Amino acid sequence: MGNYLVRRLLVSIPTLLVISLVVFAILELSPADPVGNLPLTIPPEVREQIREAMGVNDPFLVKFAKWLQQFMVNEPLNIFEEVTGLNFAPPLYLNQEDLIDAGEEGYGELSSSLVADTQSTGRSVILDGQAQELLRSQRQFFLEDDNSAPLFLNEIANGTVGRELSNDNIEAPEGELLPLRKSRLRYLSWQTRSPIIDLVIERTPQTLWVVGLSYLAAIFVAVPIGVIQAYRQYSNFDRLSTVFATVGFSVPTFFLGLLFIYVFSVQLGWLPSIYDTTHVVTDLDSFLLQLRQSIMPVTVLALFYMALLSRHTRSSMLENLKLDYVRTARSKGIAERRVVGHHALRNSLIPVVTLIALGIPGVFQGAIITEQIFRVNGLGQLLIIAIQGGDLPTVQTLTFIFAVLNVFFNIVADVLYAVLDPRIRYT
Amino acid sequence: MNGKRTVVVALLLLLCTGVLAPVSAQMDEELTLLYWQSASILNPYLSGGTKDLHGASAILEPLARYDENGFLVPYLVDEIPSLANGGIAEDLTSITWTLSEGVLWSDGTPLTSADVVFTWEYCTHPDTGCSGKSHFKDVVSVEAMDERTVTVTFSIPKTFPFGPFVAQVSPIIQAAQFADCIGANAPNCTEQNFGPIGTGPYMVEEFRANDVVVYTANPNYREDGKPYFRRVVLKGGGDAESAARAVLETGEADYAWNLQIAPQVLGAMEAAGKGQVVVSFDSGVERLIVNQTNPDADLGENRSVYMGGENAHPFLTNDAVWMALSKAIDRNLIAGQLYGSAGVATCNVLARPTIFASTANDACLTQDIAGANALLDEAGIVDSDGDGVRELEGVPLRILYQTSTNAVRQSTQALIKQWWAEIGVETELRNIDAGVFFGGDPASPDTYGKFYADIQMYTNAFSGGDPEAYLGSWVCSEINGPDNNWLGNNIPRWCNAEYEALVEEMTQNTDAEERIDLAKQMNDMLVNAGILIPLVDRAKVSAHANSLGGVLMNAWDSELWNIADWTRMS
Repeated sequence: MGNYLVRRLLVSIPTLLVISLVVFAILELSPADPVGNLPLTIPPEVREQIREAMGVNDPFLVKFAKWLQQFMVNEPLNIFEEVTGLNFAPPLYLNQEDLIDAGEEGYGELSSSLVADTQSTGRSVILDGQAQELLRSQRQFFLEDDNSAPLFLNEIANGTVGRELSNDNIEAPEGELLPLRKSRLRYLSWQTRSPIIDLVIERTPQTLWVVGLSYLAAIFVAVPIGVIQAYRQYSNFDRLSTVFATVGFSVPTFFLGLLFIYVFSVQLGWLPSIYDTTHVVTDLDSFLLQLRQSIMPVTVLALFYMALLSRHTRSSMLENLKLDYVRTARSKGIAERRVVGHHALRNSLIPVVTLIALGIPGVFQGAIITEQIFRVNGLGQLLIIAIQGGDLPTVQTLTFIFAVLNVFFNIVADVLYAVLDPRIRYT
Repeated sequence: MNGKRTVVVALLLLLCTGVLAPVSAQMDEELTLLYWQSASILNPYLSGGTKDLHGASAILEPLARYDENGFLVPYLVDEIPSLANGGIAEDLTSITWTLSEGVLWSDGTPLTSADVVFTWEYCTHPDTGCSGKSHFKDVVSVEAMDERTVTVTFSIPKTFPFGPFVAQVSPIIQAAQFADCIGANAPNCTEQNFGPIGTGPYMVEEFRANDVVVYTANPNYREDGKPYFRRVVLKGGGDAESAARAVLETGEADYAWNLQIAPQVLGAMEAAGKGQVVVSFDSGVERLIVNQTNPDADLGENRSVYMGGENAHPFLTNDAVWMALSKAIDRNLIAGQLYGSAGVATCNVLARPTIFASTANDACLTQDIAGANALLDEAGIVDSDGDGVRELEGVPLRILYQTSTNAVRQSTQALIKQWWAEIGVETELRNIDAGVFFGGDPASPDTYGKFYADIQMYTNAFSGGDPEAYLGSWVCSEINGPDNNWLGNNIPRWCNAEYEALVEEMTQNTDAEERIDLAKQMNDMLVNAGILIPLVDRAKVSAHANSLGGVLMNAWDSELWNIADWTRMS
């Protein structure tokens, strides 16, 4: 089992790399333009400069390499270092001599090489007191310099680079070492110009709450329904539930969502049609409000998932109830409740659990349409806005994250299968 | 058992009453704005998108704004510089602004001329990728004369020097906050871009990109007692129709932006009586652009490329043809049925400000299909092979008519196709996703700039109250093509020496009256050259709750331009 897991995990690495390359290649062909939605009052040449600043025109391989470096290496390292307080890269010491060597003319070069160095490796720059003093006294050279101003040295002279690390030790006493460092370059969205991973983290809670809750609700309702349906096949309950499942599965969420809003918000005025993502639950009242604003989106989604799951539970249960071991159990005089609940249900759940596990990545992907209708603004909405806005880095990153989740939960489903079904053994 | 059940039922009921209690009335101190496209970033210089400009405009202010009629009003200054008050130099090469006394940033520090200078440096840095850069065109220097005086110097005499630091597109940012964010560093300053410090009535409390902006009142705002709301929430997402419903029918929000939905639907919602629809016209005119060059796919590289009169369009350059196409259109029907209060039929590409609107072309407002047919017959453009399509010198009048994907535009296309069929012109319709159509990908064949079609339709407008730059779009040097890497403004690919002379004259002429005459003359020339066929003069449409007072719908600047005056009416 252990070997099997390790093998599966190792195989998933090249799989994901290939997936990311394919996603990149496909999106590269996309004609969407990140500045395409700007007002026409912005002239074409300015648009071109914006594209240039975003890096839209970089060659494909450069973009891919940037992504690998910034998203796959820098982001995890930044997070790791922030959490642990460690710094992997050895610091770079600069003293007065280094600066004097560079000279007034060379500040620009020194600065750009320092910026490149620190941003790709995450190294700290440590200046001794004299070096800092020199920089402060030479500040005018940086400020007077033209547009290619050596910003990094300027920041050092201002003492602003140290901000990221600490707010307290910007002014180091004479002669002491002051560590100054920039965090490694992060992978930015074109639309918001902010790190994509932050956007993902910001939006995960509401998606998990709304979509996850509906998924859980669906599981807890659908499984018992499916069991009863199978046990009482062709009863009125079975027929009614089948009708509901068919309706739940075939009525699109955008219709049901609008119907709910029309009935419960417009006509009755009971429930809000706008989901407040900034709402914080602090007490009973705010919890009730949170419930109230979640009811409609959760119900709409739950109905959809429920339909699918209850049908699967039903058919799997029907199959098992007809098998010999169930008859054997009954003939041994085991209580009916135990026959169904213990013997038949356990075996019937095996395919259902697989189905549930494979559906979990879908929870993270959010339900694009439902999120849009109720303004839940989770991951699904982030993806759709990125697609509409031609924000390829965000689309790439999200697609990749979803790919990771899919690969991971595929493994989980396989492992669960072996745990639940003793007949299956992985070696 | 029974007792237990009763308790459970009672608890459930209690929960239900709590959960299903009617949506409570809004607190007087909170204002909710619904933008179905939410702000992505609050630094307008790094975006340029309308939603982002609006989102930032409650925080950041320019020196002057346009009011609801398109006139300049002072914001961070006491008066608008003019020739009369000496603010504009006699030779028109510089303009001097004097900041009002005692204006503070929301962090309590004073606004100084250094901030204004910094804003210019920030936006014009070649690596910033600033979307407002065109507003600083021809600016040589911005100098701080003293703490409160700034002089902007231009390389050429500027008859309309109100590009820099005016309107929502060019607000002042704080030098202290953005000092490290110039050039290539600009996008890395997420903290600054998401929470700019401003002089406006509100400041950012929380910002979630593409989702919600929460503002609180700026305690250092210059007008006493303003703003009136403690908190403003700008919520994004969803679609225009549901946003309209939330304001007009359920009353959940106070203001909904950009509601281009069917006028009948909007009218029905307004009838619920909870709110009202407000419109404001800016310079935007929906028009047909007529390709002067040949878009035939067989031409390969030279498709839709201007080659000095060679490569002309096989029939659209014929006067009878485009005149007939224009005559066959019922503009009033399009405006009335598809735009409602948000549009008025027009025959001008320069329809606003109204002082610039020409009346010479108003004949086009009446549809005349018989007249169009007669015109084509007279010109000898007849259907000679009996397939229902007329031919000009053997070339059948078959038109590929493209526009962006949008319900109103597709309905317009369908109507026009029908009318053109009645005059023996066959039309093929095409719609392209707006992000692609208005995009600038030089490799894409589907952009409006490439114009691989006979006719295309969209709205063009200009910001600010002066049409000089707008009218300058149609000069020969601006012809869009491979020579300028498809970055030209002259999309119909039209070149006319006489028009060129008028453009030149306008840049020299400073007399207000004569400028108006010139602008009218140029407008008439454009529409009578058959390169642009104006259809509808468009308005911006929003809606606000009846309980919200102080809203002055403004299409010339941010719709939130006077949000400091917005208040709750009892």
